[in-house]
Amino acid sequence: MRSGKKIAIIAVLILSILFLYACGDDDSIAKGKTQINFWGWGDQSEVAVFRQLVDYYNATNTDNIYVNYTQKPASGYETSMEQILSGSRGPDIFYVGDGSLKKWVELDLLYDITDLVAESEIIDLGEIWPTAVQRYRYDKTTRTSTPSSPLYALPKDIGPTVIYYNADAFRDVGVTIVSKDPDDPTVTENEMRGYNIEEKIFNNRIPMTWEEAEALAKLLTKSYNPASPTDYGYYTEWWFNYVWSIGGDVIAYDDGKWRFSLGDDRADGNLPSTREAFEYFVSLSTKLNISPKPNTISTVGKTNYFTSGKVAMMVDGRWSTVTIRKDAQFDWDVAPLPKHKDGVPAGHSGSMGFAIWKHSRRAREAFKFMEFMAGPAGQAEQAKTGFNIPNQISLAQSDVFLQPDQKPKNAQVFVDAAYYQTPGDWAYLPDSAWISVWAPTLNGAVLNGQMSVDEFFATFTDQTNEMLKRYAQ
Amino acid sequence: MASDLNYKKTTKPKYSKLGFFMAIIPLTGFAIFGLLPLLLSVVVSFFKPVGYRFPGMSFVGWDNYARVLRDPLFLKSIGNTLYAMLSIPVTLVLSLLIATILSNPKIKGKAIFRTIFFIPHVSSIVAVSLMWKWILDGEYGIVNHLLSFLGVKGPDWLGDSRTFMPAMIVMGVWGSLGFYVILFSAALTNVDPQLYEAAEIDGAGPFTKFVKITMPAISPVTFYLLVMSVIWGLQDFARFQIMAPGGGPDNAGLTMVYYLYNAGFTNIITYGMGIAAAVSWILTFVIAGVTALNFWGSRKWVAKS
Repeated sequence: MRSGKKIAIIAVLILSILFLYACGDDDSIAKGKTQINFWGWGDQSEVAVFRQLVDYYNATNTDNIYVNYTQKPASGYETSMEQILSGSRGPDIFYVGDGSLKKWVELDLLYDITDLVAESEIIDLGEIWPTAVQRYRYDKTTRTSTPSSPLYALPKDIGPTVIYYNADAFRDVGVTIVSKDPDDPTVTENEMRGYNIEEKIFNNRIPMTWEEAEALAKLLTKSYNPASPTDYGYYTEWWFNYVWSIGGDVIAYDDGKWRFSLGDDRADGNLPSTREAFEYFVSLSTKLNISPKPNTISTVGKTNYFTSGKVAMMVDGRWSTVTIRKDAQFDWDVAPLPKHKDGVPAGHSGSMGFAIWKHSRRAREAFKFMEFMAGPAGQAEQAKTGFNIPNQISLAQSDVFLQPDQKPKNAQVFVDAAYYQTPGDWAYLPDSAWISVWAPTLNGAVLNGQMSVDEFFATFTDQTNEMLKRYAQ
Repeated sequence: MASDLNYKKTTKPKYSKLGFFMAIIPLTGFAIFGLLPLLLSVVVSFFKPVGYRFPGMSFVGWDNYARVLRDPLFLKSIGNTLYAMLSIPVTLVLSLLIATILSNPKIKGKAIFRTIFFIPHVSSIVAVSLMWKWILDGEYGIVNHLLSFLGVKGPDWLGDSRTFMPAMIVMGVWGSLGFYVILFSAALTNVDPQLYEAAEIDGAGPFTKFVKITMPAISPVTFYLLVMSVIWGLQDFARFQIMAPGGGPDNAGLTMVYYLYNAGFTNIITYGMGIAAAVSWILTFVIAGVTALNFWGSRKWVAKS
């Protein structure tokens, strides 16, 4: 009797498992097709869009391809993927960040898609942001990235950085906001600047100069203007737009080797030196005090600092738009990054790409799917999430992305920025060892005002140069 | 008697075979997943592998070890690790104090107190770290909120290199206190009460009794905790990875194992698995050396059972 019961229980369990298995994936559509595995990550809304896209592709493609989509955790994605792709069971197509591309090429994990793209009838590189495509090119023999270097991924998107500003706070301190291009027939002389200091007019279509941004930030900083509704006027954690605006950079390639150049003090014409531009960036939180120090802004993060009304202007990427839409209880919009009065507009953008595994046995099928995702059809759907700008230039100019019914009203700023913004320093070299020498101290002691810029360069220039030698080996 | 002998003769070989087969499973597992990687890491520490792959790796001799020992970041990671280990003496003293108080028969609800103290020890390190990250937040953390009642503007504990490690030490003490209290409590209950009675007759006060009787009697447990916490302290990593992504302000959270992790994974192009393996063996020798030193020193203060 007892054994009969046991057999019955086991039989029920087996049947239940078989039933659950049968209720699982409906593989009928996959039968007889070449199956490829696609791994990605993202928040729920993005993943939902991707699932729909994959389902649509599976149902409609005429190439006899079936895509299995797997959502991977965002946390630890890079490290776990490196290990998986180094093994023998990697996915055929997956996400690669612009900061990981060179490292993954060096590790021999990515498939060179240069020829496939050249032969493609769907992918037109002329239609994709050149600033996005370029970051996925890399020649590992020379460790350089030129327009003729092999292409290893196609951009999924591009996320430029802009100033998010609290429009209510601006109005509270008597600033008038206008949104007029320089060629707008209605624009007046007073509105022809990013910020007219005398007239207190802010034009969100024109980049402010450093001086204008500083004056506006002081008006919105309590220590300068007790009537300011915000504690601080301005916050940025990145030096890129300051140093790049005057033509400088953090490293320079001289005589076949990399050199730490952030401390270069040679000025060029009317422009300040790289070091002076960098010092100005540091002074925002240490001398001018218009920007909160990193140890003031808290570990909760700058976006929260902005949405809680503590800082009036914050530099951040397109990826924060969704959070700000949800959390900000005030009127807000976006404006271009400040530039030096004699310099060029500059700033950094982030990007994620689609890449194919070097050892994939279905690389051509994976590329077919990549054509769909990185091409006009897939991009139109992805743009609706609002996270980042689609890779297709024409699509970014359309209402699909600009979403005129939603904030920010001045979304065109993102599109303008995508033309010139390039990746941050984390994408310069195959890994970030050279950054970890100096960046933690910059983001800590220097910006907190505990270490001077002179001490910073005295301590880290040689150390960083020593580390940079390893990239030439 | 004869039947006993027969029983042994017939059953002993059976048990030996069974025992052998039972042992061979974990032993095989250890050989494949423990011993083999261990030996491979020795080999790899003298080579420069290409990424994660062994084929094509080049022999570099002692270069990996030399590079690590010359790297200022590694030296900083040693300093950070030792700084973090300041939590060990604090925890030992505090937990002994708590265990002594709890050993007082007049205290009620001991089990509840012990449970409360032990909860952090059984909690997930990720959950605990995230909770502390919130507690110590400069803007929204409860610590600074409480300090604000006293008119003190608290710092961003985890964002400032000067306050980062003290905050981590407090977290470390809190996390390991319960385990120490439980072991000390068990040790204290095993101290022979007659020794205290005899000492009282001789006129010894509470302090003398504690120093002359309690301390020597529980010294084996104290020694065990000291050895283990030094080993755990030298291997400290997970909570730092969560609390100090990228190494924290001024690399204040870069411990030796965090450095190893960065070398093997984050910065695999410039460092690589060879250097990571070299760091792991340097760490092994440091742990072995410190533990040996502990054992050598223990002869002078640990009571023999």
